[in-house]
Formats: sequence, structure tokens, C-alpha cells
Amino acid sequence: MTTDDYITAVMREIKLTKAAKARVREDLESDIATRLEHGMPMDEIVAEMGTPADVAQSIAENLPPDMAQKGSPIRFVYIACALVPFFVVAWVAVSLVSDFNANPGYYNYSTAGQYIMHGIRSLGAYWNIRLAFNLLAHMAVCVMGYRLFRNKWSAGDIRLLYMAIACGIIWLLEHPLIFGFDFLRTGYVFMTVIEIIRGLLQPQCVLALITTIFLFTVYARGQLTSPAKQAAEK
Amino acid sequence: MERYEQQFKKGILEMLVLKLISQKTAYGYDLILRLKDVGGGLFDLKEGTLYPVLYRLEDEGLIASRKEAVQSGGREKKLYDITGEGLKVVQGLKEYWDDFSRCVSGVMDAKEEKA
Repeated sequence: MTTDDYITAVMREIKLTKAAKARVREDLESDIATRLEHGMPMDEIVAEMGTPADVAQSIAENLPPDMAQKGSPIRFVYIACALVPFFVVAWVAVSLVSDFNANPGYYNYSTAGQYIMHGIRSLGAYWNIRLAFNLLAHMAVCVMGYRLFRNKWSAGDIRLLYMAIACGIIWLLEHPLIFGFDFLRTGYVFMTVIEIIRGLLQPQCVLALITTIFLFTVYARGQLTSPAKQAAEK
Repeated sequence: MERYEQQFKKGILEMLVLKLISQKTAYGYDLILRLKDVGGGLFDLKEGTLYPVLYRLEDEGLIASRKEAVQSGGREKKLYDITGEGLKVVQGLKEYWDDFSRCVSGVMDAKEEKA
């Protein structure tokens, strides 16, 4: 391991503001250079200073909270994304009410009423339940993204990964649950590539895909740990 | 017991680091070695503990850092100097510590009184 490798590893582990990181980097460079001047080999320096994770943890524990990293501003994008469906639903509701007022008698019953009248396999029920599934999965993605970016990568929690898998299952199961497992044959097997791509390009799918890619990147770097493991390490 | 020891050390570490820097301009590793030397094994510090102390002292204006080029390798050493304010604080802390340790010793060394 070289000096640069060691310092880069500490910087990757440490959860501090940019300014605080720059200070730590300067001191580490200085102290490693001094040891090297004294003829100490790099292996011995690492053994004396501790692993990058140890150094990062020790500094983070002793620093005042204002030097700790507050998380990426990307987390606010997820808050905004979580609010969007409420505005959409409100807009649709207002439109429906104004349409109803403009054409009294045209609507025999509401969408919810269609669900009651025609059962779960009706088109109205399909859209209601699909909307509920999508909202549920979308909210889960927003929570996942927010938590992922709140404390930056290294504060990852393995439960985020379980949540991502649960979201995927919710999305995959929404059609079979509504229309029965026949839908697997008609809905998924005979889907064209263009249909799949078009489906994936929906805004909430794009958000979910990006979040999942970030999440798996963190997982691949071994930075998602369970709360129990985090407690044991402390 | 370990918790008390850690609290003692944590409480006086800033004072000791400030005193050592007031004696001689120092860099991080130098402070670690000097603390190890004078501390008789009580202050076997690592960088992760020392740096936050240095940053707190620097942010309070008691010490100031500067960089100095290292002869080989193209890297820089970061040196810490005491400031005028830091010198005043060291002097004040020394006086307080004398009173404090005298008081604590008085309590701890007192013989048990029988009721």
C-alpha cells in the first residue's frame, strides 16, 4: 500500500465536510511523510496508524458535529419526488370535480364506484389498484434514495437493499395479483422490447432504476452493513 | 474504571497538546511521540484522537498551522505554532491546574473519618 492508497482509503471511509477532509488529508500526508523520513516502511506506518477504517472512525468520533458530513443535497430531490404524486392526485381530483360540475349526470358513479360495481377485474379497479401499487413502490424508492444520500455512502444500511428488492417484487406482482397468474403469460412473456423500454422510461421507473444502480454500487463496495453489525463494530 | 480514565484523558488532552506546542513548534507525529515519551504510557495516542484536538485548538485561535516543504518526495509537512492568545490560555490553564490538582489531591488523600 502506498501513501496515496492509504490516504485515499481514509478519505473514502471518512464522513466529513469537504473542508474538514482537506485538513485531515494535509495532516495525514504530513505525518506519513515524517515517518517515511525516519525510514519507517509503509507496512509499519499502517500498523502504527491503524487501518483506514479505524482512522476514519476515530476522527469522526472525536470531531465536533459541525464538521460531520450532512449528506448529499441529492436527498432533497427524493423529497421533491415523493411530493409529486400528491400534486398529481390533487390535480386529477380537482379536474374530475370541475368536469362533474360542468356535466352533471354524465358520471354515473366514481372510479371507486366502478370498482364496487364491477369487481376487482374491472378496468377501473385495475387502475385504482395499480395506482396504489405504484404509489407504494414510488414512496419506498423515495425513502430509500433519501436515506441513501442522507449520510453518504458509508452510512449505508443493508435494510435499504432489502427494501429495493421488496419494491421490485411489488412492481412485478401488481399485474398477477390483479388479473391472476394468466397475466404472467400474456403480460410479461409476450411483451415486446419496445414495450419494456417504454415502461422503463416512465419517470418513477427511471428514478427507481437510478436509485437501484446507486444502491448496488454501494453494496458492491461493501459499504452496506446491517445495524447489528454496525453496533458490534462500535 | 476505563470510562473514568478515558474521561480524564479527554478532559486534559487539549491542555497537554497546547502546552507541548507552546514549548516548541510541532507537527502531528512529533506531538504523538512527545506525548508518548512524557506520558509514561498513559498518552499513547493515535492520529484519529490527536487531529480533532488540533482542529478544535486551531478553530479557537489558540494555535495556527503552516506548511513546510519536505526535502524529498514533494510532500508538505503541516506544522503547528502557538498564538498569542494560546500562550495566555496555557498560562491560565497552568494556574488553574495547580489549584485543581491541589484540591483533588486534598480530597483523595484525606484520611477516613470515623463517625
